Amino acid sequence: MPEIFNSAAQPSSSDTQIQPVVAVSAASSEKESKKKLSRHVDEYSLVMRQATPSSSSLKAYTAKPTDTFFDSQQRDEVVLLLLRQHPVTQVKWVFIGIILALVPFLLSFVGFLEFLPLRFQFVATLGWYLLVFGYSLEAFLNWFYNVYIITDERVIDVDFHSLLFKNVSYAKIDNIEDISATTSGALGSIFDYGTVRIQTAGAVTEFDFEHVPHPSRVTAFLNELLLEEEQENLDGRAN
Amino acid sequence: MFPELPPISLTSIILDSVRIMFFLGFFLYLIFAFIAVRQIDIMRKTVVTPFAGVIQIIGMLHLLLAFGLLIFSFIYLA
Repeated sequence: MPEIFNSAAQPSSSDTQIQPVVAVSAASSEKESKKKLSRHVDEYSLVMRQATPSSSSLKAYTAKPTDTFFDSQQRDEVVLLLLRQHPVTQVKWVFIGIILALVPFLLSFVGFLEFLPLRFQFVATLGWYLLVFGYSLEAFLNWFYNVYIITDERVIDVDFHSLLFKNVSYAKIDNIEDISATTSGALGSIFDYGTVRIQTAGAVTEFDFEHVPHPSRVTAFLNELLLEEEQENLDGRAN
Repeated sequence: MFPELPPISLTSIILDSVRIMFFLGFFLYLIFAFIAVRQIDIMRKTVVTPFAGVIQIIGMLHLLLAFGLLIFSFIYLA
């Protein structure tokens, strides 16, 4: 049998080493080409085009936040919108904190702790202020870390209830079925905040972005993302 | 039927009770402050923002204050 047939039937060891390398490079080039094809958010979103990137962490509505990530973020995933409850909804705990801070002054007028020696009264006052500080800190943490994140791929709802309970829900943009925005009450109308309800086909069927600023803008942006995802699927650019 | 306590003795019983309540309260608060620091750590890892470092410092300060108050009350009220 000619040599050439033997070599065709049994590939040489150098050929078997090359094949996986070629397969990996083909996959990576395909990924690269998809990445090149996926458009920048400003190209398809009017909402994002009008927004400027922000590095401020204390805003309730942060479009294109810089230096902001979340734990399960994928390599190519970009955080496009970070939402928290509107600051107006947090006035309640700020007000309670101020009232609690004034309590020792009010009690000193009434003479509530008069039966105790001065050093006991002093320690009690220090303890009270530490308690108020702890209350305010926890309330602030609840506001700051209960966030809603919209990326170019997913919608994420991060919930921390008290200090002991954490819940993070994810839904792919593809799975979104229905979006609605509700603004209610005088404060909601004046300060333009409300609840955005997202119904999905995933494991978590409903996402409520409660009391977020500019609910209609958020809804418009989600619709733009949905349209872009559909377009990607049509063009074969979907990841 | 019951022994009649002199007023000084009664006052010392009340003060001792208040002292123990303070110690116990501050100790429980120290545990709460420690849990808060742990929770801040989990929160920081869940959502990473440039402000996270400041929050961690505030949490540590809160824990230090809670510890300091417990020690201070031990010394000052002893």
